[in-house]
Amino acid sequence: MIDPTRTWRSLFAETVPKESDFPESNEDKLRICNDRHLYIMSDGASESFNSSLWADVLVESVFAGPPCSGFARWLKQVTAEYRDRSGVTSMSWSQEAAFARGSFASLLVVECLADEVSVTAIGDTVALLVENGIITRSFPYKDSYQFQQRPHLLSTVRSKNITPYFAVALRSLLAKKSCLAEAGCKVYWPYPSSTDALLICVTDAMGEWLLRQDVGTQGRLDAVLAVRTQGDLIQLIDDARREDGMRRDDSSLIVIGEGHVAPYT
Amino acid sequence: MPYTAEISRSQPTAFLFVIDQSGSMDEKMPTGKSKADFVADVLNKTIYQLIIRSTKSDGVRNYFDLGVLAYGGGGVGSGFGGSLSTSVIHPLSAVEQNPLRIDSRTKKVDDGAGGLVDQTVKFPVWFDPKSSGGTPMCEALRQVAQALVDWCNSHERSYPPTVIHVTDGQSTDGDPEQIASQLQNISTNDGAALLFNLHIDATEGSAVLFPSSELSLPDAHSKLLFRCSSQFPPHLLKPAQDKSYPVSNESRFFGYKADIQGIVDFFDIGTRASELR
Repeated sequence: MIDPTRTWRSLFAETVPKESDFPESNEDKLRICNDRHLYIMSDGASESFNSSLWADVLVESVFAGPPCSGFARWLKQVTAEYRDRSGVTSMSWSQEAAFARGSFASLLVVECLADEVSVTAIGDTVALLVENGIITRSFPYKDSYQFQQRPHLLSTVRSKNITPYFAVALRSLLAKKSCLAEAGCKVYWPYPSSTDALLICVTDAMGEWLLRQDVGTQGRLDAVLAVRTQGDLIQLIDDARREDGMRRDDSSLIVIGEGHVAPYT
Repeated sequence: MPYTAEISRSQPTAFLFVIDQSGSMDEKMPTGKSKADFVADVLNKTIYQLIIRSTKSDGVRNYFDLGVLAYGGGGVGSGFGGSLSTSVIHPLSAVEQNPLRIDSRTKKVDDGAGGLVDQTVKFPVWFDPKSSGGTPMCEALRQVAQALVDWCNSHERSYPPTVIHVTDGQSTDGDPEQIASQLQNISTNDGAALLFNLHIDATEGSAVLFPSSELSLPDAHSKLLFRCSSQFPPHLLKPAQDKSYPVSNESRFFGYKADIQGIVDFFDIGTRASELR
């Protein structure tokens, strides 16, 4: 059982758009509630009609408290809300066709429970556990090469969510632990014993960059842990894009840990 | 490294389609449609897909500039009609707003209960099929080169333009090899313009797609078009391999006697952008 005086909370949360000239087109969405120890991140896919809206609908729905059962019903609810907010009646022919093609987004939900941390991940937004200054766990990906595969993303077109992967994974989305024998998209991590442990949530471009296994691995993590402001994050991402091959994409970072963790005191 | 520039609204790339409308394009394919009809359908569908990929809730984003040049008995000219016919290359949003017409077509879709139902969809048409006269290929490629020079001068940092040239015959106004070579020397800072040649044929079964040498080609005409075609840019290898084409770094983006599937695949792979932002 975690010591209540050691409750984890968000120490940093910011997002940087892929195109600085168009900050409004950032398709990453974050939602944080320290009181409920709930941290949600969704990355809308670039080739989508309105993945920013879709990511927002997903994040807000999870934040509001989605059902622990009846995933199909939840999916119907969120796709209906997306449709209602899309202004379908006033679309041009190309918007109608792009709307029908759908929008896609990942979903990462971290919940700090009494005695462990629950991580639910659909798609390629990742959570990383940092203990003693090194990455000791990550989910759903463990290595940068995994970002090359096409991720399973939630779609606004319900039929596109009917796949063998989703048949198993989606049932576990926010299920109770006892339901998880078949789950493919959820893990529980025990709280680390060290008081300076941190949990980092990042969207795919940063995740791929952080999980590269090469001589730069530690330096990348150290650079992320040194970020304190949005300006720091913008600088880090600019440098990494220019000098270290980070893919240009909307990039988001949430750092969760104890309030007195050394770098954040 | 060439062909790695990100494609964005401030840094678009260009696709220029060059379509043979000579008399022989009226020959029927196994589907019953003429070659001209089938190519027009694939081209309209390709333009449609490029627009849909770039359409967001706030409108069409100009990730691509598009142009169509047609050549045949009427000479060489824009393949677009209406207001788009006044120049060769246009931003994607202008193309979206100016189809010749929007047809209604039906397609089969999943009815959600294990069956298929007909659904009416809008099918915009920008390019109508025509077929008459000779094959002024050299003049067409000259006009392409002029358009590309202008485009590259104003888009130095962009992913270079891609020319997709579709023909069913031999040039009737000279040897196109020299102008094709010059065309591939036009460049942006991200690399040379790409020239993809597709020779189509009404018969099935003898197609050669994406060959890596002239040796597999049957005659002087096919070898000429091979030499006029660009090598595969590295990022297009995987999309071709995903469609089971055994391509390598040596492969040329060239198809000879392509049938229906070959034509569709050629357009599909040829219009895959690199990094669409």
